[in-house]
Amino acid sequence: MAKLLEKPEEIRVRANASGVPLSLSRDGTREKITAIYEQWKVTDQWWGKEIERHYFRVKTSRGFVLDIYHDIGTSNWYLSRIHD
Amino acid sequence: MPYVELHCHSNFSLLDGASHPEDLVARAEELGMSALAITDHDGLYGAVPFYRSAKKAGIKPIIGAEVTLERGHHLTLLARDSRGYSNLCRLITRAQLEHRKGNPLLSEAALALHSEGLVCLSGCRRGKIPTLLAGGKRDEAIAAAKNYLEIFGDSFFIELQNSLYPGDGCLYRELIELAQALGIRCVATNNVHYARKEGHQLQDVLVCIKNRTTLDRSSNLRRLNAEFYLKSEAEMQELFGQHPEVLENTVRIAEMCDVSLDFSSYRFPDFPVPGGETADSYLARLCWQRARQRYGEISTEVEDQLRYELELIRKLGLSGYFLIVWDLMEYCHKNGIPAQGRGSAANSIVAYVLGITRVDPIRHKLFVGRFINEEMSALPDIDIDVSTNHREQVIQYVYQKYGEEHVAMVCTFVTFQARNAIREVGKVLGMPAHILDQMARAVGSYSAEDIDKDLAGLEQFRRYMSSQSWQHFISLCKEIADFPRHLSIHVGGMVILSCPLSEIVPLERAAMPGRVVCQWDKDSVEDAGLVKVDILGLRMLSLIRDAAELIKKSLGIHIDLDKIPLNDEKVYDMICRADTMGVFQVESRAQMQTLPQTRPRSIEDLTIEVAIIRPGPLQGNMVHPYIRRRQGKEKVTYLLPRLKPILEETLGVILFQEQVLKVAVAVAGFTPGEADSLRRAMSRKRSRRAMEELRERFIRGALRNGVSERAASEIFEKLRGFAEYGFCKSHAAGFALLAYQSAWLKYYYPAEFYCALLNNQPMGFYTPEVIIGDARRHGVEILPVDINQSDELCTVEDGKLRLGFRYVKEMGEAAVARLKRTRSQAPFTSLRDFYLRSELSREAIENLILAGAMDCFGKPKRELLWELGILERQGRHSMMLDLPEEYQVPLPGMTELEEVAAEYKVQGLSARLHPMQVIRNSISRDGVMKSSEVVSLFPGTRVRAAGYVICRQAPRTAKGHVFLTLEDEDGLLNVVLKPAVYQKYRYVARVEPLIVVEGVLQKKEGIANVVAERLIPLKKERERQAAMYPPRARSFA
Repeated sequence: MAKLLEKPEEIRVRANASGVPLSLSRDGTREKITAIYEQWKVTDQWWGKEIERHYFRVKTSRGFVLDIYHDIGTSNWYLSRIHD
Repeated sequence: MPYVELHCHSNFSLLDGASHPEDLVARAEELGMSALAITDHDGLYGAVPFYRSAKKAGIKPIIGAEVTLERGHHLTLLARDSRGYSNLCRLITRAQLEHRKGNPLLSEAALALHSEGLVCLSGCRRGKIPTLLAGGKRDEAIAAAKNYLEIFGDSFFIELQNSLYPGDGCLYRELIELAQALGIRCVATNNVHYARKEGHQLQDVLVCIKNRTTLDRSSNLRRLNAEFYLKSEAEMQELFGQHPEVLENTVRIAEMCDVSLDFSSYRFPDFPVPGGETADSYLARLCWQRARQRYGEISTEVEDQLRYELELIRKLGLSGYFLIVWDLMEYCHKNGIPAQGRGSAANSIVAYVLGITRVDPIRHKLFVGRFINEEMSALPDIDIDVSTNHREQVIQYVYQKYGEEHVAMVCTFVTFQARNAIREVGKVLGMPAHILDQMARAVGSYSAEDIDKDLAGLEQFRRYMSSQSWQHFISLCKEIADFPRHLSIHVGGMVILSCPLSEIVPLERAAMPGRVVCQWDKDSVEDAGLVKVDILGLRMLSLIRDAAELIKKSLGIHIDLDKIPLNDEKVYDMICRADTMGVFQVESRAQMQTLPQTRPRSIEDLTIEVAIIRPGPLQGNMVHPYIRRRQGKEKVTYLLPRLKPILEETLGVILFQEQVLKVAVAVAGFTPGEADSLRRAMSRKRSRRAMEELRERFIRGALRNGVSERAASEIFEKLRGFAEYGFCKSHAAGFALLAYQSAWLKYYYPAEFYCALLNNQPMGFYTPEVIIGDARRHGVEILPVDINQSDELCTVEDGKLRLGFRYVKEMGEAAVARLKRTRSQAPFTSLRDFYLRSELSREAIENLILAGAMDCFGKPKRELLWELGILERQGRHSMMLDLPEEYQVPLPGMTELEEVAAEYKVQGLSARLHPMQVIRNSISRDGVMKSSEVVSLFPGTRVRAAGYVICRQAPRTAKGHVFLTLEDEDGLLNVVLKPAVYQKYRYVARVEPLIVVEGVLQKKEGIANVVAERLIPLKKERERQAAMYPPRARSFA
């Protein structure tokens, strides 16, 4: 089961030079990223408001499996889905 | 780690790939790739242009395809060698021919039979193995892999892709694991669909066009991201770095592959000759026999020429080719099918004596070097014009004679150009349909490349242009320019081969049932060195034959148009008057403007006329000196005395390609082959350096011939200025003959001529309603369509032209057939009789009434329509009663305007009246004149005239000038719009069908033009006059 957030929540992420996320913090808590299960890219709506996102499915040190993404346009990171 | 892309789609993966093959090659070159594969869906459509541009760029071309298997799985195949290439063609052919058009599917059984010489990659995500793995069916995936291993051995590779889709990482690991378990090598590809990342936008648009949807509504159909571009080594390294061997293997596979696409050694089939003869001996024997028939006495000139050509043909190994074409023409002659060879072939005396062409090269002083010569690198091209109505029959003959395996039609690609790009790209972007429609109709340029400049000039679209979506729209339209959109059959090209065609080029189904087409267009076929015969339908040939038959039927006279004298003064008088609507090749607006100046009076003159009035010579500034000399305004001079015999027929001006060759031979001592190379090189705008080299060779040869350097230089420049646009004289001569014949028919048998002209539409320059106007002006009475007299096509009745049912809407073939069947039992006596017996639809009957078809029953149209309504309510099968008294209502008749409007609505033309005749009263104030009145005025007079726009032309050479032809009840009127005027009234000029023009009358050399200052839509003028002046009495029927 996974919970898709209605509105993606902005989070703070520390990433390495290649853009791979190393740790993230949400609700004030910092979690390390212990594994990256999948990554994928989405490019859409280029004819209007362009969306370009790099998604990662990660496991954190707190034991959560999360889908997060890097919004290339704004350079911010967001949480989009929480897996059980 | 060097990388080679082995899975790449060009725009020949129709409505899927978003780059031209040449662009993919260019990008590969930038990336430093040593080789590139193109793997379009189920076809090798772009193989030849890809091959050529890759070779030019020093990149090894790998020929392949992505095939669709029976359950819809994909598989990537690459050809290693010529055997593999043949097998690839065979496999694609089977997949295409064994299934419905547009739905090719390959069976694995077929794969097993034709696997030799092929490298097989397991495919993208839609490959069988990845699909099974993604579905958790590992055992089945293994079985599939083992099956491929068995078919391809160690030429089978597991294909790995990482397009950064969710699940790709997982799939990657599973594929690697499976490959390791079975000992199969892996190779990385990127499923490329565009050369550069930005191409993803156009790719999205193509997917939407293919699925007939818009960008906003298609998120589930489009690709998720923009990763499908040609990636660099570094980018692939990032994705596949942990397994470097998968990248190495791309290079290894590339090294294995070596295929050539030069098939010039595959000759045409051997022609079956009588026992004891060879193709050469048979051809020679035929020629000498026929020469006696053609010429009677064989003069020395004929003999020398014939001997020379036969020897040349023998040396070039072309006897078989000539016999094939001769056989085809014999079939046409024996079956009464009008046909003639066109183009440069008419330069050949062999072609003439064999009856392939109708132009005597001796009489017309032609030059065979233009057609064949010793140095030729490509095969000669023989094109045959055949009566359009019989073309199919001739094609069937070729299939039947040489076998279906050895013959195929050449394909052609319908491409995106300005109009359809606007409509389709705009629709995908969600732009409003009516705006797109206006833009598409208003755009002037043909090519989509100039769209921004073109539309920017138009006021009505200005307000959209600042938006961001406009930018996208414009740049996408430009990008999609020249993209192939779908496949169609080329008008006439047929490929004939000695070996089964499907070994050289894949075949597929055409839209026409039973028809098979090869996947290459005519350029690819030519570049690959294959033999092609073009069998083109020429409607004029059908027209001539139809007219002759009509004359026989209506007058009992048998006319053999090949025997009419070619010097009838009256016919030339008509031509010189520019009374040439419907006459082959000399009916265009440009022609009509020049005929009174050039005044052709012989077939030779007509040949020149056909050749010179084309955009080319008009730009090269050659027509004017010829016309000036013709009119005696300029002295006829020759740069050198030795040029006189070559150029005297064209008054010292170089007009024909054959003359270029002869001049090069006479002045610089070139051989015919060298001269033809010179001509071709000049006509292709070679680089400066190449031109310099040619010039030097020419001058050296001239000096050796005792010609001064100055003269030689001047002549070379003349040749160069001309060469781009010169016309082939033999081609023009063939056409001149047809021009004369059609003019002769128009003069002596106008009713039959116009009837044949109408029945063979669409053809020529003018539409049916304009043709009818011309017929009327020539004294031919037009009878409206009649329920009892008419046929589907137009006919001649007592010297009058009876319109056919074909123009009436809702009267299709089936309806006409039913009507005729019913009529053959007994003629129709009333509307009711017709209604009950014919059982045609209400719309059809209504349209027939409005077209005047039932005027023969003596009742006005309104009454008939009313009666029809009653009949419909009563129904066909109720008890038939006479129309009761109380239902008969006196109705006002239709006014002339209403009648003509109704006629136009239901059949697109009127038998009796021109629309201008009917509207005339409502615009006749304020000095609006008829065309006949205008042309009788003094030059310089200010005039106002009105008419229906039947022609709009903006020739590139005219520097922004636009030409309109207006038609009214009295004839045609020429209007010239100077660039500034055109800019100002552009929308009216482009889109309005009826206009009023104000301007100054200009008269030169017997031609009248109105130089416009203002254009007004006619409806506006009517409103204006109606508001300003009291209404005139209207006529009531």
